[in-house]
Amino acid sequence: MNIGLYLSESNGEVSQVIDLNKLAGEYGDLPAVKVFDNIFKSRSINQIKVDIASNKLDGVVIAGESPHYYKTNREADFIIKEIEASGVNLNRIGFANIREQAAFPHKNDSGAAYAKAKLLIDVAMEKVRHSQQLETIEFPPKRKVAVVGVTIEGAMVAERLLSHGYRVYLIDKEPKARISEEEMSQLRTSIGYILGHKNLKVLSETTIDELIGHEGDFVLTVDKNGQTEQLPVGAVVITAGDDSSYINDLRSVFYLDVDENGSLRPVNRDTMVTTTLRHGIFMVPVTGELGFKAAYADSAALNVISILDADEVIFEVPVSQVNERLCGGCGTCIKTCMFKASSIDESKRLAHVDVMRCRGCGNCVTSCPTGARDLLTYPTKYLHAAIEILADYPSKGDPKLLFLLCESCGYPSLDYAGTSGMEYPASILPLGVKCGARIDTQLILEAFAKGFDGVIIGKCKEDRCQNLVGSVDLDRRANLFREILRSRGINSERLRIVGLDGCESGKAADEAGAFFKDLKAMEVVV
Amino acid sequence: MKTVATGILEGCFGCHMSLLDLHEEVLDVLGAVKLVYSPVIDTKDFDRADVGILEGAVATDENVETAKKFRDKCDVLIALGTCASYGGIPGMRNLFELDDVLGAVYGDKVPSSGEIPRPLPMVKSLDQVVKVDYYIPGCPPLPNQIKDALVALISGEEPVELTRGKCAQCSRTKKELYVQRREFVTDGIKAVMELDEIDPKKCFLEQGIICMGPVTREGCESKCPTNANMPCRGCWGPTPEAREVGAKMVNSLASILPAGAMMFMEDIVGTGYRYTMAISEVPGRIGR
Repeated sequence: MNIGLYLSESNGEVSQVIDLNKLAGEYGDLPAVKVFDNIFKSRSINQIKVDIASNKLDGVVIAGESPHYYKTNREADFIIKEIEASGVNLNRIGFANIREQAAFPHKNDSGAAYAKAKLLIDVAMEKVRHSQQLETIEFPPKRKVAVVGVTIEGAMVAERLLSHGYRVYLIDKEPKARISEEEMSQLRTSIGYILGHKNLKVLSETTIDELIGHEGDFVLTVDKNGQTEQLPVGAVVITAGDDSSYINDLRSVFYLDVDENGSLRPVNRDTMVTTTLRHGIFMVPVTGELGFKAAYADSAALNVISILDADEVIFEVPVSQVNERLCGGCGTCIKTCMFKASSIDESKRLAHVDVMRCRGCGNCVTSCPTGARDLLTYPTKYLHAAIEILADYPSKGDPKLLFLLCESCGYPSLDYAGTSGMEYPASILPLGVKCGARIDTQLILEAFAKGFDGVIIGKCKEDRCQNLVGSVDLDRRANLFREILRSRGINSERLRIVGLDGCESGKAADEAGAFFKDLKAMEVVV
Repeated sequence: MKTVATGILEGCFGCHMSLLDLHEEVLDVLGAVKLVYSPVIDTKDFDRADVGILEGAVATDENVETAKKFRDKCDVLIALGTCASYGGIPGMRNLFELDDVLGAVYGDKVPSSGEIPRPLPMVKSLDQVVKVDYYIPGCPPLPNQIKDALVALISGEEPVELTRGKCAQCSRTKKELYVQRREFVTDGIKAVMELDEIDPKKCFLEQGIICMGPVTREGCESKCPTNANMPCRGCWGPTPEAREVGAKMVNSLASILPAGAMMFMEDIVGTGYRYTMAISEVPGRIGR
C-alpha cells in the first residue's frame, strides 16, 4: 500500500516541542512525506492532492490535530472531503494526534513528546494498512423533514423548509403548541403561512418510537393514540427548546449527546451550533432572543437543505458483513445489539447485519464468539497491532499505561486536557476506540502480555453512552474479566474503568494521572 | 505408497484410539499408506515420512525433542487433537507453579531429573515449538475426520478445515436468543447438577446453563448437547479468528446472561480456558 505522511506544525504549536523535520526523516521509505506549517492552508491541501495523483497514494496519514478536531471543524472536515475526492477511501485516511496528545501535554519534555509522536504515527499507519475500503451505498435523498418540537423555533425551521419546497412533519408529544402568546403575535404571518401550507403535516400528541436509516434516508416510526405510522424522511431537526425531559426522551430514540444541563450538545458550540454528531439530525439550541432563534433556525434549515438538495447521498457502511466461514448462528449478536440491526437466517444458522439499523458501535463485533464480524472503521487486527506498537514506548522505569478511550467522551476529554494546558506523564499511551462496546477483553489481556503495567478505560458515564449500552456492556465484560486477570497472577486493580463526563473537561488526564500514581505505589514495574 | 509416522507427546492416547475406532475402515487407510513409525506398531525409529501426525501437548524436554524429530523427518506435520493444537487439558497446569504440580503428583518423593523427562515451565501447543501444517482438533477428533484428512493428503489435496461456531451443528432450538430485545435470556445461572430436569431440545444458554458451544469450533457434530443432554465444554477449541476462548466467552455471554450471576460461577477460568490455556496471550500464571 502506498501511504503518504503529512505532518503539521500547527503554526509552531507542535514544532516548538517536537522536531518534525527529524521525525519526517524517520519515514524516508514512504512515497511521500512532507512537513507543513499549517495543514489547513490551500497550499498544503493542493500539495497533498498532487502527491496522491503522482505517487498513486491509496492511504494518507495526517499527523497534527486530533481526529476529533476533524469532526468538529469545517476547515478540517474540508481537507478530508478533498482527499476523499482525490481517490483515497475515507477509511484509509489516518490521524496521528501529535498536537493534543503529544506536543501539548508534554511540552516540557520534548524527548518524550518526540518518542510518543513517533508511536502515534506508527499506530495511524497501522490503521490505514489494516483498513479495507468502506463499501458505499448511493441513493437520492428524501426531501422530507421531521421537525420535532412545536416551538417557535420549530415553526421557523418549518417555514424555511416549506418555502424551499420540502415536505415537513411537525411533531410533538403535547396536544398544544409550545408557543407563547407574545411569540405568536410576533410571528403571526409566518405561522399563518405554515399552517395553511399543503406540504405541512402537524402531528400533535404523537410520540416517536424509533428512527432507522441514515442521513438522507431515514424511516421515522411515530405513534399517535396507539396508531403507528412510518414516515420516510431525509433529515430530522429537533426544536424541543428547554424541555429537558422531552429532550431526554428524544435522546434515547435518536441516540444523541446531551450536556450536564440536559440540553442537546452541538458538534461545536462556536461554529457548528445546529449540527449534532449524528449525520442528518440537526438541532436548534436554547436561546432567549427571538433574533437568535431565527438565526439558528436559518442555520438548521440551511444544513438540511445542503444535504437534501444533492442529487445523491453517499453512505459508507461501517460494519463488515458476517463471515459465513465462521458464524455458527449462536444468537449472541442479536441479543447484544441495542438497535435491532442483527438478525438470523434460521435455516442456515447464519447471522445478518441490517445496515439501515447498524450504528457502527462495534458491540456485536466484541460479542461475536467466533470472530465472524469486524468493525471496518476500527479493525480488530489494527487494535491488536496498535497495542503492540504503543507497548514499545521507553518508559524508563515509570509505569506504562494503555489508555483506551471511547470516541465520544473519553478521547475528547484527553484532547481537552491537552488544549487546556494540563500535563500528564508521557507513559500514558492513548488508543481511541469507537465505543466502550468495542473494548474486547482480548485487548486488555494483550496489553498486559505486551508489557503494559496498567490498563485504564475512559468511557462515557452510563446514561450518556451514545450507543446506549456500550458503557454497561463494557462494565459487565471487564468486571468478569478481572477473575481471568487474577488467574494469571495479574492484580486486577491494574485494570481501571473511569466514566468521563462528556467532552468538556480534562478529567481524563486527572484520572490517568491518579492511576499512574497508584500503579507506582503498587510497585508493578519490573 | 505414502509413508506415515504417528507419535505421542503429552497426551492420553485418545487420539490414537480414535484412529483405531475407524474399525474395519482403518484397513482402508492402512492399506493406502505405509505406517513407518507409531506407538500402535512395533518400531524403534524411522528415517523419514511423507506425513507425520503428533498427538498431545508439548510439556517436557523429551516432547520438544520428539516434536523436532518429527518436523525434521516429515514433509507434512499434522497436529492431531486439541492438546497438540491448543495445549489442551495439560495446559491447565500453567496456572500453577511447577514445584506445586510435581509435589501434588509425587508428594515429597519428587523424582530426580534423570528419572523422569524434565517438565517445561509452561506447557505449549505443538505450533509453539515447531511449524505445523494442518490441525485436526478434537478431544478426541472423530475417526472419520482423521481418515478424511489422511485420504486428502495421500491424494495430494488440502484437508477440509471446519471453521464455523459449533451452534451451527447443534440440534437444539433457540428462541429467546433470536429475539431482537435487550434482555437476559434467563434470570440466573445454574449448574447442571442443580437441575432435576434439563430440556433436551432447548438451547442450554436459554436454560441458564453455561454452554461453550458459541465459542467453540464445529466438528464434533455437537455430540454432547445433542446426544448426551450435556452442555459443550469447548473441547474442539476456538475458531481460527478467536484464539482467546476465555475472553471471548466473557465478551459474548456477559450481555446475554446475568453478568452478576456469572461472577459467582465456580470456575470461570477453568470454564473459559479448559482446553486453550497454552495458546492464550498470557498462557499461564505470570505472577508479577
